Amino acid sequence: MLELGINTCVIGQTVQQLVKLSLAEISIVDTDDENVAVVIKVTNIDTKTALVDGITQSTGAKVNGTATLTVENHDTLGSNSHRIGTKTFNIFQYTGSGQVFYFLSTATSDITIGGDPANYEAVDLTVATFLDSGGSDANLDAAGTGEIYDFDVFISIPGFLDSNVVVIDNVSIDAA
Amino acid sequence: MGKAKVRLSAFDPTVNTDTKRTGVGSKGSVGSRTWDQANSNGQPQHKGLGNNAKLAGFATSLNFDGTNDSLTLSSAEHMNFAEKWFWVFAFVDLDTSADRVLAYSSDVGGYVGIASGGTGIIYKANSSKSSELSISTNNTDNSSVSYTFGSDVEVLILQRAANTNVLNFYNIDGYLIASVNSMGTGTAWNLDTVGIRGSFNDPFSGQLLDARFYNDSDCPSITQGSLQAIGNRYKQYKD
Repeated sequence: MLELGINTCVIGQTVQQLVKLSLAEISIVDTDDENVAVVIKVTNIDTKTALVDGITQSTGAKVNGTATLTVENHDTLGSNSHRIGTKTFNIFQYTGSGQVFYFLSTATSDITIGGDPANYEAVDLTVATFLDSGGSDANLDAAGTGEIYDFDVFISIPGFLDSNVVVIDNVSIDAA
Repeated sequence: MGKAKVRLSAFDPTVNTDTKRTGVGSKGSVGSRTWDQANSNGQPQHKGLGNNAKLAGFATSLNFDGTNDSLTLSSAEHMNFAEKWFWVFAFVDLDTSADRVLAYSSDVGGYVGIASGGTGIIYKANSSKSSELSISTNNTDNSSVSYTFGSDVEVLILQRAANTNVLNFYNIDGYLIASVNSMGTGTAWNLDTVGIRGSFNDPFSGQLLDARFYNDSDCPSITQGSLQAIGNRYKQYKD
């Protein structure tokens, strides 16, 4: 196989277009301070198939690919400018097989979302690994005057084109 | 912005079948408190994922039956008159055929809820000398918009500044829908109940998504952006 750039590849004499992944929505479905449950909705059949290809499906199962989440803290009441940070997460089945919702976590293997809310409120906005454009801690915590956030996400799976970016803006987050 | 002192969140992604609930942990900042109901007949029912067509498939809710369902905090939260208050209620499937109480202070009988018809708010200061106020929201007499609560996802925010009787109420869009002088000088609340007042009076009939009670310096700011951002948290729950 000879790769010809990002959009095409040649298998023998056949030129095939790589499939572009597709996201429908992003939701911030539960919060405990800056510990946030981020859920993505996938309705596109090709994308759902790619996510669970080779996976034993169950609630909390780690699926294929990664999600790149960008979070913006508006800090509307303070003197700071907007703060923006990006971090990559793994993707997990929010419910069992055949469903459209997936949530983000840094966990590296299947996890349980019953019992401990920390397992699905898995996006911690206070960690220093949300990086700004210069590669430093983006300081996204909601302490002080930070309280209104935007969330953008896209997913990537090897062998596919990255998905569209889905966005939810102006969501309130409590500080601890 | 800080954290709610006490909170009753109906969010639970592991509820797949309708389940009666008691002992629901408060997500608030104070202590290890629970929302309890010893009488199984009075326990609200946690609705399973996908069991309410008005909610997105990831959302669950606590159904209060409008008869005797309620939850009581294991230790009442004192809301001092000298402190700011900011209370947020999010709910769906509200039955507006009668007055519906959301929160109650059982020591002296203060309460807040939605008036019959969804056209206003009922509020009684937590004072033996006070009487119920019926505060219309379906006009612009003391507000920026006319608003009627319905059966879709709704939010009611109660906001009070420190040492004042003036209560402001906001809706899911962050709009001021009513402002009133409650005439309850100096009265604090000992918040302890959600969903009913007294002996089964004005029981809440609907599905609760969240109830958050902030006070003092933890209260969110009163800006249009902040109020709208709170409403946006719950707009996501709409299917």
